[in-house]
Amino acid sequence: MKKFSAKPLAFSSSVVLATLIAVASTSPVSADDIKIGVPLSLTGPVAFAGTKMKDAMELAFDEVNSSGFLGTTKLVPVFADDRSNQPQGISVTQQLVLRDKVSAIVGYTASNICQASLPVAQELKTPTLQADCVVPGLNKIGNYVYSAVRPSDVFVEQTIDKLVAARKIKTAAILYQRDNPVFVNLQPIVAKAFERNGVKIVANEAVTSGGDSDFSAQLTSIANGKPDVMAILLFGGQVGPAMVQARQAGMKDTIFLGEQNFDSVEVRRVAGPNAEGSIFPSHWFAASPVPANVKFVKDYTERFKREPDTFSANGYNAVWLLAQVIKKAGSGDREAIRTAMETIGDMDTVFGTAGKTRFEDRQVTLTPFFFTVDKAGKAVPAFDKP
Amino acid sequence: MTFSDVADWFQIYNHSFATALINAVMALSLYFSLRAGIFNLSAVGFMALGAYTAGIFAVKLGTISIVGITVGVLVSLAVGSILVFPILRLRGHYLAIATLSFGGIVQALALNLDSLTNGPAGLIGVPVTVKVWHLLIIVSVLVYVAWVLTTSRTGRAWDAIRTDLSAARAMGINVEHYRLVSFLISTATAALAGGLWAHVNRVIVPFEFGFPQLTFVLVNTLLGGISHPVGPVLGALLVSTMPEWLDKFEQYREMIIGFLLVVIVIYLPNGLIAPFATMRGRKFSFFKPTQAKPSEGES
Amino acid sequence: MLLQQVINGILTGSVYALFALGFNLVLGALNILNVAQGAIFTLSAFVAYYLISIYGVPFPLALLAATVAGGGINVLLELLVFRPLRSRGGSAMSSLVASIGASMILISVAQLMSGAQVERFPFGTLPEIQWTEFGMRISFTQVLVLVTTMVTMAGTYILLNRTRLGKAIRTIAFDERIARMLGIPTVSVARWTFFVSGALGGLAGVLLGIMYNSVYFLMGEPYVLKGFAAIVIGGFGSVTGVIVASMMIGLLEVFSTVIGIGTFRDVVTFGVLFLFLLFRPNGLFGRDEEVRP
Repeated sequence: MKKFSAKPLAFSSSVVLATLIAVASTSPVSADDIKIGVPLSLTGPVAFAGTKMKDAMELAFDEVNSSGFLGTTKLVPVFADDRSNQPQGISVTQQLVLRDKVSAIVGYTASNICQASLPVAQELKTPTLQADCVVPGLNKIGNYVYSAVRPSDVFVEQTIDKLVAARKIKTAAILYQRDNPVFVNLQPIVAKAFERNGVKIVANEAVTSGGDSDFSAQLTSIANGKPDVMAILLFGGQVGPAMVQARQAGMKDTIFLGEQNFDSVEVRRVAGPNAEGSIFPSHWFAASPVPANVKFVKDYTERFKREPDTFSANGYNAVWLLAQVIKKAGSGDREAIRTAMETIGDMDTVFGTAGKTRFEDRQVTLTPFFFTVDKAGKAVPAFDKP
Repeated sequence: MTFSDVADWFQIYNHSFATALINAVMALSLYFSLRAGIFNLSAVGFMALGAYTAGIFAVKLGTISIVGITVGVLVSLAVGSILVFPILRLRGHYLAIATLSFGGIVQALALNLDSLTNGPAGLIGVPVTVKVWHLLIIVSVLVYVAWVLTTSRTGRAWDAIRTDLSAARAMGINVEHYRLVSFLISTATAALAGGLWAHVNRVIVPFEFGFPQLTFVLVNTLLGGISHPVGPVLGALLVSTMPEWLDKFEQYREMIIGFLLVVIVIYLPNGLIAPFATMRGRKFSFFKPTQAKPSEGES
Repeated sequence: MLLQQVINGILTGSVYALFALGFNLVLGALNILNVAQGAIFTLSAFVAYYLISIYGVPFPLALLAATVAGGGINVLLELLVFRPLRSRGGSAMSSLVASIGASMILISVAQLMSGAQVERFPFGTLPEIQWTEFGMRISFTQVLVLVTTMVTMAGTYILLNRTRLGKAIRTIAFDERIARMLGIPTVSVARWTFFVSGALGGLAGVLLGIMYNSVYFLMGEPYVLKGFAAIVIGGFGSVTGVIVASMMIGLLEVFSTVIGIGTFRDVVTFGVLFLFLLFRPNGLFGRDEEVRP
């Protein structure tokens, strides 16, 4: 045979290489350890979220390993920084799967990086649990890609239904962030939910940049319609200034309605008393009595000397969900993990009111909490039964 | 190193390579402008135009990639041909601001023309058809073209215009013509980079075509230096792989890039390539007009 | 409501004006487009914020300190970046690139310092008084911002037109070589120009922070582009022009929201800027200098 076949050579040398790698790296990684890829946005514009996720994920990996949850098997995280940048997200996904040969991936921070990188994980047949992206459609990518969070649209709809039922709401306004997919997606859903409940939308105004803090023009237009409720669909850092400016623009009694980013130290500090009466749904809050969460908040606060926020909770929760999946799979085999994701059923979680969740349509199911902000600036349960 | 090691290595880093090579194409786009002394900051705007055109053709019309990429280049050339006349009448900071605001307009339109661009949610599902070897060929061809142009009559005219526009005109060089050529080649190259970007990165969001992208391209081009077409390519490849070395300093990355920019323009105004690049024996200078020494003969 | 929106536009515009004035000063006199002005704006706001919230410094004093800090940072940039560049014969373009780099460094500092968190001046930093007249609401803070801006703009005008320093700056702007021949100490005048410019940027940053209840490491970013627009529309180097143009842009933005094209706000601003560059590159009040090659 004249033609040289590279296949056997490639095969044998890759076996040799694999052995070499295995031998070379035995010191930290023992035979039944399972490598997990953790791509996050640790630098760049989304780093404020990614770094908080990383802290909590390290905590979760330590807990899984030290508690013997997987017997003698340990999970070994391989962190990678996508720099809040889409091409880099694809690159690190490839590297984690092909170079580091991870058994599964848990992580990702920004929506567009999820949209671009998750199809890569799917093509490389690596089971992936994304921890933080809430744009719709991620659960349609393929049978290897699961979501540990879900878009908040249904929660916000439920909040509006409950709010209209509980109070006399006739008019509503919306202030939303135009350059972010999550809020642009949420805005028509909120508008429809109000209209379905017979509430008139008196103003619907956009903020064009995440760096903006001057909302005076929008808020003057909105204040002119004297809305009973105003939905604030902005970045966490903009929510506080928007609340203060809205009160200054004359909306003294308007109820602010929002999503889970209303619940943060930052919003509380910036908005102060102006946030009183705000209403929002959240799949998680620090004081949630769910047993897994009580432990999480205690451990996190002890280790990092600060209270965890939503991003930390998202990261922590995703790692523990994956640990439960791997326990069911019983090995680090990618196919076994994928099958386990399909068949796992109920899992423990720090989210929601029940402390349990399942994958449905490849994303978690949750029942949210509904909160209102009291005089002291604390989030307390809203819509209590009379 | 066995064959399969290399094969593995290529597979693992294939997307990083692709990204570095696309950055090289962008750096070359800036090279074509800077070479003629046009401080053109519209490259990222045209990159976005190229990326969106390619993306829209691939996703909404289902054409093969080369059609979308080509149309993207043509659309950009068309827009560029309209803009080039008023823009080139401006000088210095006026030109910089005008081209910068063009980029701003493109980004804002991408954000707001939802029916076409799908707004901030991004154009999803662009097929990954561009491979590393395509990009290698494209970069090689571009470097070759740049080299041929730079060493030709056109390149000499560009150098003369960059060094002293009025003198160039006085020498009888058709300044308008050569600047137009430079601007349009730069535009087409940026749009090409955008089209390729789309077919490597799957999702097109307006967010990726902002000021950070522009500073990145500037660093690449200026670090490499524009005294030789290889300079920008070298700069792009270096900067694109640099973060791997700098992983320990990740939170200082922006600061490091900023520092690099400052240091380059002050202490290394002609880039890393400068010591190696004496094209056809002529001394080169970008930021500082060359002092004519009597001993230097005209080639 | 329309009247209220006019006030909103003027307030927004007056912050733009302070910012752009500093921008324009360095550009007009030294032909440097100092993009780092946005970072100085941000850092000064943080200086005032930390002075007030941690050390309990009263607002007027903090405002003064932040203004001086803004000037100081700009002088530092002049010493470390622009002076070496100038002495090595760098072109206008290289100074623009260097200022982009300097800006990235300074914004990183603000980001690391603040942990990328939004801060707010403590409640009660300024008396929270609001007047409601003719269906308009005006707060004490807004009046203060307006008065401070007016006084500062008048001061800048006087500085440029009635003082020795102003004359020196204007002479350098006209031609640096002639200035040197006339015995003007160009180096120290350049330094003072940077100081005044940075101080104006710093003042603008604090006023914006207190007026809109937000101090954030990215707060300067939108202002750089608005600043470009203001100096192009107003005319490079013209004080009156920049003030008028800034007010125009403030009103333009507010009214694009009023007529319901708020999402196209940036397209409108950039579009107007672009049109001016194409058809009236000297701006409204620009010197009739040659802008074409």
